[in-house]
Amino acid sequence: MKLKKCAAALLVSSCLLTGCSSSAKKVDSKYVVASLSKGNKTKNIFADDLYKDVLDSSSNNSTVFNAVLQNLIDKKFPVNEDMEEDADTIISQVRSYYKNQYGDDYKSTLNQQLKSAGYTNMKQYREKMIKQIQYANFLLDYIDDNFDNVFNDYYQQCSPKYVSLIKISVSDTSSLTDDENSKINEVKELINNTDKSFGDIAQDYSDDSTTSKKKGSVGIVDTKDTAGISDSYGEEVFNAINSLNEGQVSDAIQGSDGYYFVKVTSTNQKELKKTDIDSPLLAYDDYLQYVVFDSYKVTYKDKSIKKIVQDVVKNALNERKSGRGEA
Amino acid sequence: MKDTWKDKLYQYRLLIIIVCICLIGGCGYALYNSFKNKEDSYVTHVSNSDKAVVKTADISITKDDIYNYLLDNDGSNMTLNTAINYVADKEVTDQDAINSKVEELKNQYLQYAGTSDLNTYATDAGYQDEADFIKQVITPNAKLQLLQEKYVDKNFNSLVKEYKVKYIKYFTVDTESQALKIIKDVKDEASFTTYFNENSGTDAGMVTKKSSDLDSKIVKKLDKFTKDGIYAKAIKTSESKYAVVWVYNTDKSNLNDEIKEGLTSLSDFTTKCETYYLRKYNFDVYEPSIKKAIKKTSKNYFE
Repeated sequence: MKLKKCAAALLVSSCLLTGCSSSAKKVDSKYVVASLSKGNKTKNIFADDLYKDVLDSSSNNSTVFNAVLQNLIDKKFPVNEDMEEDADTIISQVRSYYKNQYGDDYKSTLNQQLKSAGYTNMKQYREKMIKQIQYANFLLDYIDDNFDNVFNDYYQQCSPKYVSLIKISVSDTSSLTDDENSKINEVKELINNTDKSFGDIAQDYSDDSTTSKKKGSVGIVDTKDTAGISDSYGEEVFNAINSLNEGQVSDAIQGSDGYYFVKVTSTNQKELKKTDIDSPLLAYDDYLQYVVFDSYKVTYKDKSIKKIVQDVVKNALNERKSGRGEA
Repeated sequence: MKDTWKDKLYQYRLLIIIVCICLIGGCGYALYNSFKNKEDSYVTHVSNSDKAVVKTADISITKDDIYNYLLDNDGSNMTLNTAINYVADKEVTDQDAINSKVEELKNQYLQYAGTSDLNTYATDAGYQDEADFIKQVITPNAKLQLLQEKYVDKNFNSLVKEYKVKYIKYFTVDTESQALKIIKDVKDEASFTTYFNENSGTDAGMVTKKSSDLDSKIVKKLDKFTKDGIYAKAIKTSESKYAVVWVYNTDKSNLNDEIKEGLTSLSDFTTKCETYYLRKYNFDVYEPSIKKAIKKTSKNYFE
């Protein structure tokens, strides 16, 4: 009984999707996507025409590469239950965030945000998330197989550091209250003139709820800002981190919504390598997808596609080299 | 990745359902396709669709895989552009006009890029050279612009009426009594100009019902501006001021080029023109998902 109901529902929905096979039109054994006619003249736009137009136009080279890349990813890393669960977790986190920010009426704000980002609805956003997760799997598979090389490149290019932070929230950065001033001075005093560790001070005094429970640790910060420090705490904080060496602590830094103290706790390569470093490795290199694609042994059965894809990859890898001053 | 027993059970049940549906519905190949991956939901295919174009040790990417990606990402625009470019090729045949428009657009691109080197601009944008850029971008755009101009020429009077094309100057004062006194006092353009200058007026030039920088309350009165001269009533604006309006150029016989330029730059004009020509050429689409997407842009494209 259940099967029949299910089958009927699927039949209806699938016919809505495809319009059944009656919509397919063929002329001279070729599929017609669209047609125009005036008088007795008819112009058929064939599937072959659309395909050829894209391949023939040099401005579409990156589209053709993306088509090959996306198909490779879809086939090598097909959507599985784990990816679906990960996407659902992301969606649920997004919903919780908006509910916390906007209360029970959060749905309309969330829908507006989705629309302004180009998504019709949450379902479409979820599909995009799944694509992103597939893409991350494609990169991670390469990173796993070439971990030492990728990590060393990351270490060399982005100078990663372990960083801890203390935030003193203030209501107006241009005019501090006595209490706010006292708290900033007390933290300064504790850092400079006592043996209390930076982590313990962060735990007891920091107003940043996400890091205070972890003794101020914000994890790995690098020159590419893969951790998004500028967005979360302000550019001044990010710049201060970049200027510090291992063991150094900053003076009070004025951010957009408070004062910050930052400490670089380690720059040790072995220590950094031991931790869960997947996130920065996925994000540090804008050209990683080309490096990964280039690592596949690809055989081309179509000359046009071969030329387009090889040109796109070659150009991207050359840009990567020149961007690093290696060209 | 190996299938778990759960995956296999699910696939088995799904297979039974699919077989049942095919027997019940008889929708055949298209229905079967709809249960496969998303990219298989299209009813159109390229020739030799199963031919591999790229292979790795364990996967094969076919022509149809590439075609489906293209449809997924930009299918409606690709179809629409091909159709409208075909129409432009048929409707715009004056080679001198095309050459002249191509030159005009070339200069616009150069001005925009702040360079005199179109070849570098073209290669930076991913084209082979200047000639390739002219062939792929500038010439089709020139024809499309000429198509829009042709559309205005053919429908000039009805478009002027529909878009409520007017020429006005105006200024605002704080009270209705002030405005009415001025309206009574204005005898000719010179006396209007005196008040216009005193009140820092605006010469809006050509306006239409789509003019977003004109106060909406004045836009609502456009139909009333039928004679050159002072408009007999004060218009209360959305900022609760009172507008005094001077209407001019109600005889538009010598303003075709200017009005043409104004109309073709309106935001909805491209869609309006395309709708006219696509309907004239009985445009139809046989790939349902693409047709649905095009209808979202404009449901009027189809008869």
